[in-house]
Parts: sequence; C-alpha cells; structure tokens
Amino acid sequence: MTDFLQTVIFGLALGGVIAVSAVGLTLSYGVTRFINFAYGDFLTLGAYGTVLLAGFGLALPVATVAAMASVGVLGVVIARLAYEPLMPRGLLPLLVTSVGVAFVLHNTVRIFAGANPIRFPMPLLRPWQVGDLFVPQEQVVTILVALAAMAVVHLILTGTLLGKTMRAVSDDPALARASGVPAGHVLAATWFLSAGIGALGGVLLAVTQITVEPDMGWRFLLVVFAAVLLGGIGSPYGAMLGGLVVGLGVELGASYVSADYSYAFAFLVLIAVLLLHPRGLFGRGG
Amino acid sequence: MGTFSTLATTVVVAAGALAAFTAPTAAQEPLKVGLLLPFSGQYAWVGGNVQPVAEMVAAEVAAAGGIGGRTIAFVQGDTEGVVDAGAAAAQKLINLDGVLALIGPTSLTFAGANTLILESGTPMVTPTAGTTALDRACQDVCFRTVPSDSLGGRAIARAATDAAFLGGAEPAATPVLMVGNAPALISFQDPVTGAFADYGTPLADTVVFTPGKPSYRSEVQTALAAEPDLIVLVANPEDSARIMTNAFQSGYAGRWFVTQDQTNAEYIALASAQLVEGIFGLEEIASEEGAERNRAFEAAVEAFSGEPPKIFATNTYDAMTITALAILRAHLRDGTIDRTTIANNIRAVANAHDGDIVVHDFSFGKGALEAGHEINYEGLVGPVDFNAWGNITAPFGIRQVRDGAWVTVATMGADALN
Repeated sequence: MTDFLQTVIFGLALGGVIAVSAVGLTLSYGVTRFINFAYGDFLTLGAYGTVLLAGFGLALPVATVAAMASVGVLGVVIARLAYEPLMPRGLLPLLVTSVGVAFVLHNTVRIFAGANPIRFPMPLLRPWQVGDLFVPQEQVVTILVALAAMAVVHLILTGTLLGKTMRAVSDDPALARASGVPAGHVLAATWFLSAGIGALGGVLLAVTQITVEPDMGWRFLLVVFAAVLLGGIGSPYGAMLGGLVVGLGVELGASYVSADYSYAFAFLVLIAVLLLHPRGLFGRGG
Repeated sequence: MGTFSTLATTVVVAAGALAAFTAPTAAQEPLKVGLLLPFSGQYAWVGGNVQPVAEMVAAEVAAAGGIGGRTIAFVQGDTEGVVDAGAAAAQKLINLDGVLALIGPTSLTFAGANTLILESGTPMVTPTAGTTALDRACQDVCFRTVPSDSLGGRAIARAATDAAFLGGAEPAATPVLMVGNAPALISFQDPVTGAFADYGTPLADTVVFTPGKPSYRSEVQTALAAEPDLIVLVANPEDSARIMTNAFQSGYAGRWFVTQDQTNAEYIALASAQLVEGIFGLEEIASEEGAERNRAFEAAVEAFSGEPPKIFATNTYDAMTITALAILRAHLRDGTIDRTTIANNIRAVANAHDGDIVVHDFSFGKGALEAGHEINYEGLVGPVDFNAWGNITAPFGIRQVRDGAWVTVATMGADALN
C-alpha cells in the first residue's frame, strides 16, 4: 500500500506538469482549431528563459513570471508573423508551418545555449517523510503551482470578459464574430495565454527533470498531446484531468508493469478511453 | 615537444595563413573526413563535443604543412542519434561526399551504418562507441579509441566487489543495476550482470528504463525496493542526473557507480557537487606523463574553441590524430591515399612494434615518418593498440568524487579483469 501511495504522489506531480502544459495547448486549439506543433518549444523557451533570468540574479519565482510574459509576447509575435497570414488557407499549411517554427525555435535555442544539458537552478532538497512515505519538496511545489495555474485559468475563462469571449469564439467562431466579439483581440490574448502557460509548463518540467536541453519541449509534446486528446481536445478542464491521468499512468506503469514500457501504459489508457468515449473525457458532442 | 597551448596558438595562426595565402589546386584538394555523429536531436551534444577537437587536430595538420600539401576538411553526416538517419548519413558521406575515413559513428547508430562501412571499406575510428556490437564487428576497417562496454562493464563489477579498488570502502553486497534501454547503454547489461555473478556478488535487481523521460521516480522506487548498497547506473548524463536526484529525493543515501560518460567535471556541474559527492566512476586512465599531456590538451582545446573539452574530447583527439597519421603514412609509404591504404596504415601508426618511435601528436609523428622511422602513437587515453577487431584495452582508473572533484582512488590493468 505504501508503494502504491508513493507512486500516486509521484504520478500526481508529473500529472500536474502535463496538465499545465496541456491546458496551454488546448486553449489555443479551442480558439484557433489548429494544433500548434511549436507549442513544445514554448516549454523549452520558458525553462531556458528562467535559467537565463535566474542567472542575472532574479529569484526563481520572479524569473519564472518574467519568462512566462516574455514567451507569451513571443507567442503573439510568432502567431502574427507565421500563423495568422496562413489561416485563410486551411489547417494543413498551418500545421506544417508550426512544425517548421518548432524546428527554428529549438535550433535557435541550441545555437545560443549549446546542445549540452544545463542544470535547472533548483536547490537540492531532501524529501519530507510522512510515515513510510517520502514526499519530495519539489513535487509539492510543482503540484501547488499546477493547481494554482489551473485555478487561474478557470477564473480567466469563467470570470472575465476575455474568458467569455474566448469561450464564445471556441464554441462558435462565426456566431461570436457576428455578435461583435473582437476576433483579433481574442486571438492575440489566446496566443499570449497559451504560450505563457506553456512557458510555465516548461519551468515545472525543468523542476521535475532537473536539467534543461533544447529538445525538452519537443520531446514532451507527445505526452502533452496524449493528455489533450484524453481530456477532449479544446477542453481546458479535460486537459487538466487528462494530464493527471497520463501522469499517473506513466508512474503506475513504470512501477507495476515495466519501467521500460511506462509511456506505453499511459497510451494504452488513452486508447481505452478513446475507444469508449471517442471525444475524450470532456469532449463535446455534435 | 612544446605545450598544447603554444601549439594551439601556432596552429590557429598557421591555419589562417595557409587559408589566406594558399590558392587551392586540383592536387591540393582537401582530404575529406566524415563526421558520422548526431548533430541534432537528443544526442546533438555528442557531435558538438567531438567536432571542435577534430577541427583542432585538422588545424594541427595544416600548421605542420598538411599531408602532401593537402589539408583535412570535415563533412558532417548528422545521424540524429537514430539508426535510420544514421544509415542515410553514412550513405551520404560514403557514396555522395566520397569521404576517405569516418570519425564515428556512435553506439546509437552503428547498427544502421555498419553494412555500408564494411561494403565500402571505409575506415572508421570512433571515439564514442563502446557498444558490444562492435566487439567483433569487423577486422579491417573498424577501430575505436574508447574501450568496449564488455571491458567497461567487467571493470565496474570488479571494482565494486573489491575494497582494494574502492579506496578502502566496503565492497558492494547488494548491488542493483539501472540501465537505459538504448543501444549505447543496454550494451552494458550483459557484461555487468555476468561479471557481478563471476565475482561472487550477483545483482540484487536490474531496472531497465526508457531514456529521455522527465522523471524516474517510480524506476528509482523499484530499484530501492531491493535495498541496494550500491547502484550501478548506466545512462546518458542528463538521465543520470535525474535518476540520482530522484533517488536523493526518495531518501537513498547509498553509493553509485557510473560509467565513463559521467566521470568528468562536466557531469559534476550538471548533477551538482552536493549530489555526486562520494560516487564512484570508471575512466580510461593515462600514465603520469599522460596526465600532464591531458592537462595541456585541456588548455589547448580551450584556446582553440573557447570552451573546455567535454565528454569524448580525449578519445576524439586520439581518433583524429591516428586517422591523420594513417593518411600521412599512406601518402609517404604507399604513394596513394585511399580508403584501403588508410585502413591498412592505422595499426601501423597506432600499435607498438619493435623500434617504433613513440609519438603523441601529429607534428612529431610527421617528422618521424618523414625521416623514415616507424611510429607508435600513444594517446591521451593511454596506449592505443588495436587488437584484431579494432578494440583497445586501456587500463581503467577507478575514480571518486571527493570535495567536488574526481580523484583516482585505484587503477586497474587488463589483467585484473580475468
């Protein structure tokens, strides 16, 4: 039982990282209807930006917020330059372009930061011991930040005009525009939020995996996609739940199936859910 | 022989002068050497670590007047660290670019490139591939300046089970192996497992994990369930840092034994000195004289590339210098530089024969060869004497992190591994 609870704690922490990252991706999909393959590199940029700013002496939380804002702005700039001009041409050109943008971004990181992994500037802390359980302090921070981030996204979506317009555009873009919703403004806000949340996901990922490297976000994207699909693409709440399920699946799979097939176990859960509920846990019908 | 730092300055100036004032002619076309390594993807750091050192040797060749007036030019073949891309990169280098020799490949991509290398007879000297797949892969064209994982795995087990190799520390009683499931890593599993059993202390458990995961807490939990007093960790540096951190966060206070990839200052910086204090590592070891050359080499690399040498730097220096000397000997003795003559000359310049002059760099080797002597290159990783299958049997150093730096606590000759 102790082992199981220990694994659940590990799974929740990893799930929190995946959930935050998945929320950012699904937000942009909800409004734009295209999957941004460059999203993983927002995670990378967030992590590297935080390392850079922390190197200038900023406290880690301050560096993280500054990196989130910077990556958010970059997300808007990239969308304005690379995505929005292509939107009238359909989804395929956008999708291919986003793959290209992803390669440009992580190779740019490689040029400036080098290909070797760098340690994320987190102090090394012994875990808290609760009975027979070890609770790593970093994981508690990760889970709390993830919960806070998801609460903020919830508040934005439900309690602000921006959130309501985003939901309106997500539900029915044509109707929203006809009702006078400023589509350009909503799009820019969505890109900013999506990229900024991605940057936070990158920082949490860096805290989890200790090191940062130029491909970290690109490689993590598959797991994030799994969470997004599991939750129901376009649904922020589904992405949150999907992230937690995938995180738990990976850790339980590593403990109880085989460490070498832990990702396979997570994807088996995804396939099973999609077979039973093709639109994901929170997917909308119609 | 001057120091490497002086040499590096001379090399840079001379190479610049050569480039500026020498107009290329057909006879002076550069000698193409392929770098069959990952330059993108997760293992891009391998190519990034190897290329500057290879270029430094090429600059040394140019500064020494080249080989028959010709310089060495590198062509990149990006294997991306995956087998199929490695095969495509090898195809490009060998068939399209027509390289004379290869530096590489890594263990990750040897499987994709080996058939083409063998069929084309292109000599390869790899500074990175310890894979057991290369132990008996080919006799004529495959060489490596890094010991086989068979030997490395056995050396780890020998050291971990004998206090004499652990600086007096208790030998392992319940060792556990954690090994990544990638060609460059899993190749250690059988040698380590077999050797621990041979030395009377079978592994308590083996955990095979997927490389590149963000977290290894569950894998660590599984390993710790066997209550190890020593964990042998075979992983790439970033996964090693993650696993050791995850174990620390799970309360593990036991010992670690890592492979050559982590036994360097770079890994201490990556994982943090606090985390790695007291861990053991394996490394090919040079003599005292060799250690001095290593320090000069570090200064030379820093002067040349602006960065300190990284993982595989010494192995690369040896691989590239041997390649350059073999090309030179082919030019001087055979009158022809092609893949066959280069391959045939590699053992001639690297292995010890009666009457050979021992050399440690290209310039000195060139002087000796041009004077009609035969040479025996001894490298930064120790003697580089290739056996019938192109493997080396360098002695190992057992190292331990003490006060934030690696120190050698014991040495182990090949005879200790019987």
